[in-house]
Amino acid sequence: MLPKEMVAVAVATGAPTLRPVETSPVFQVGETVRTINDTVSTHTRLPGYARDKPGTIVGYEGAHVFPDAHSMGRGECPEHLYCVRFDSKNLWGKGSDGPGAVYLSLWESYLLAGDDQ
Amino acid sequence: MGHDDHTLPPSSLALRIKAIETLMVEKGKIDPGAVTEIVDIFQNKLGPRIGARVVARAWSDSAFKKRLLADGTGALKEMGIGGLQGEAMHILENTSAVHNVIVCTLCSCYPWTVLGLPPSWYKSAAYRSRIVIEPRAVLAEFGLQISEDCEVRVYDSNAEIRYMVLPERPTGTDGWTEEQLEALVTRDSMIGVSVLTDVVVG
Repeated sequence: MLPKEMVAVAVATGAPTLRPVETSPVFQVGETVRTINDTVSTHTRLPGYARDKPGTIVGYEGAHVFPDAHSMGRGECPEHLYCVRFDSKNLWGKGSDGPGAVYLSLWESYLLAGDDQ
Repeated sequence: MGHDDHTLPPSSLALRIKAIETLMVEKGKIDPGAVTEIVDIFQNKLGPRIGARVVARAWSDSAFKKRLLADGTGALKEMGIGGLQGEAMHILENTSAVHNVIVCTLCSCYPWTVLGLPPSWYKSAAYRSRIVIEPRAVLAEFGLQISEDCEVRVYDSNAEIRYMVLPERPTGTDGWTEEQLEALVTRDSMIGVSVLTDVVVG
């Protein structure tokens, strides 16, 4: 039970999900990737609109707790997390309403090497 | 006999929350004082004036701005800002060529440490589903027209990374103090659904 006097400390500290891992990230900034196309009925942080889409790695965030595994009680299973850019025209086709992009934070399990590999 | 001395019962949602809270207190799961403390922090201590202070400093101090854009979490820590829902922060700079806007399509993630709790529209299904697919149309409904030569970048807060937009500094504010600048900065400009109005000089 969180006692009253610990609330301010907990709020100020937060709950960082960054974790050390032994492996090196598979993807590098600038690389083209494609997201996986798996439909799952359990918790995932890969939004449906970004499934099976081409994107570009634009940043590396370190390794973070993997919610898909953690939510299933399988432990934290940290994985490398990347900032991935998806051009609007690749996500929405003719439905795109102008020059733009969506940026998502995606775990390595969600990503495949891009079509240009 | 009149009924003016009767008060209406609270809404069913409020009653349900009260019932759950009472049960959890009785079962020793939560400290009622802790609940009051949490409400106090989010109602009175956190909020968008913190973000406004960060923006004003970035506009006033180019070295700080550089650090803020390179390592948001670290630069915010210099100002004593950090914690729950702000453990890893990126600051997104708006320019004449790039307009950034934030959302959480999966739920309602929001940078609590700099902006406090989100407005209710930020949590609505309409905003969350539409801002990714038709950001220009949604921004236009907020009164913001984005020209075709400006790229719109939508940051979906789907992981534990949180974002705040650094709006463009209004013209006509040369020589203003940080305190003066801070007063110009709105919550919506730091979400990216509005821009700040230039100041008319003279």
